[in-house]
Amino acid sequence: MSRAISWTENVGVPAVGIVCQGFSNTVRMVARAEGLSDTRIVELPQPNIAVRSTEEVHVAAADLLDGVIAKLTTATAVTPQRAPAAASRPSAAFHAPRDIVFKGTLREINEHFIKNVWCDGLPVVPPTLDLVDEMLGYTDRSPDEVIGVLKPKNLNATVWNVAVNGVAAGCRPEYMPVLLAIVEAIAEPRFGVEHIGSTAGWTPLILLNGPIIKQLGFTSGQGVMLPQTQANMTVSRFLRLCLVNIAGYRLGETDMASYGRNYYPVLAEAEDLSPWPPSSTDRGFAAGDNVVTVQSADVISHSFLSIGDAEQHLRNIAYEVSRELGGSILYHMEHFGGEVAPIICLSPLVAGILARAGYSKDDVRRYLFEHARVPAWQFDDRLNRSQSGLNLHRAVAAGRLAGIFAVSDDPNRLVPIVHRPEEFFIVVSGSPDRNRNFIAGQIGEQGLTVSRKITLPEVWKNRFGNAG
Amino acid sequence: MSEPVYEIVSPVGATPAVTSAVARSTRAIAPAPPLADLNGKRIGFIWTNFRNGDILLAAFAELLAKRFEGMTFVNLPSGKTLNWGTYPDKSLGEVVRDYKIDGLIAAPGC
Repeated sequence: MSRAISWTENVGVPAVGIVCQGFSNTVRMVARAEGLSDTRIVELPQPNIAVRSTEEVHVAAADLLDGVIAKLTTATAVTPQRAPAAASRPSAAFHAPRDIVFKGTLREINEHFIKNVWCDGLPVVPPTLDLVDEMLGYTDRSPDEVIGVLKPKNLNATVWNVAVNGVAAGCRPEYMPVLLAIVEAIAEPRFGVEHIGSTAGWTPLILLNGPIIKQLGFTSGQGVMLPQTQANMTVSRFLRLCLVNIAGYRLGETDMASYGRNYYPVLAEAEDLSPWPPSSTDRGFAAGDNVVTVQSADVISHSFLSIGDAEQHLRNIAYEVSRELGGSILYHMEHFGGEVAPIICLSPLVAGILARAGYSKDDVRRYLFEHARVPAWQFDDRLNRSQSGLNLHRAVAAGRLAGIFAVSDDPNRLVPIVHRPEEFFIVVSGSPDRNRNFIAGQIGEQGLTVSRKITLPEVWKNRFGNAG
Repeated sequence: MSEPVYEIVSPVGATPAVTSAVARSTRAIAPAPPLADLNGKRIGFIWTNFRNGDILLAAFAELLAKRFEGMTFVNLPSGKTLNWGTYPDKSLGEVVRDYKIDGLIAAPGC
């Protein structure tokens, strides 16, 4: 909303935002980051608008009306600020990259990080100049290169501050190419980094493909989603630190998650044990490319078992997919952007059973599309929770869902839980000899999947040879 | 034995250079001048797709139409069908101009 207000005001049209109590500060901060010096806001007192009945919402509108009219017909209190005259006069809050901003013991450094909200609450590795320079030894790019601008604070992510946050997160210098690719991915507009601070409090999941997995010691086997391996954990932690320090997410200010999630370990694919081409090939890359994929993962399911012959496994998986993705997360499929990318992670054992029975990944996707379904009334219920009176028929009429979702009025008709089979993103990872799998639910335009090829520096050949 | 002392650099992101295209888009935005009144005005509505925001906006339309003469209302698209100025898709500012909106009310729902 802050951006909607900012860009409307930018073209000379007054814009007022109706904001639930507790969100005013967030709206102002994000609008200020867009450049808007004063924001026209009318605050709706508790209770939250979502829990009010239709009649109560109408009463609230009547109560707020005079305030809305006043905001549209009154000049704001703050006079416009002048644009900064030159980049050579940065704000006091920002420093030149190599400036020393603090000096102290390990404990004092960490107190400083916590006081400034520069971390995730865990101790950091002090980002000293020599450690940052070590990280920079694993890229051929200039430290000043701007990789992208990260909302909501609209600050530049540079090669330099990627290195700094990598050090702080505990990454090894040789992880630097992966870190750069991750930031490239989240800087893409398609990813929607500006949505990370939303009520859902979703966390990005990082997937990794290519020879770099073994070169850098990522685990892709047993316990892959446990916090154990340095590479899997610190690379993911690095992303969290970037979201705090570069994107500018702060709880209660720019981050309004209801609950939130901890960051997940990097999910590296067990490419050597998979019977199929790497999952990165489904994103248009060549097998053998080093690829990082970042997307939202708002739910991570139980590690469910599947049994029997291939068809029994598929029935089990389809049931779990419909159960996991046919619940609360379902409305994102209709409401947020027209595309979802749920991850179906199969163990190498289960993937092998399916492949030996002749199933390709496309076959598995088609099977899931046909069989992982929910009754229409369940989907209608979830839509109505988000928007009063919304149901599948209205969504189809509005063009947000295909006709398959409204072929009849039977509330018990079974409907898909994704738009098309290709949306299922199949990854092979985890304990190689267990018949366990899991599902990660993705929530549409909030963290839509983006993949980037990892660029390796010249020094890589000396360290790791020509592979990758 | 004394503890080691470390000198650290900042992990915070960098301010955009003034000359960059992005920086131009994040320069100070002067708040728009107010409307003299709402008679005959065209008001755009933005709803961010969360519960009851649409109902609130519809209620405003009804109330405003009763209080002022000749008002019209336009529901603008929300979410990723509309960008907020720095993305390659059509920007909200352009849409506001295209629809000849005089004022905007944004309601999120929650």
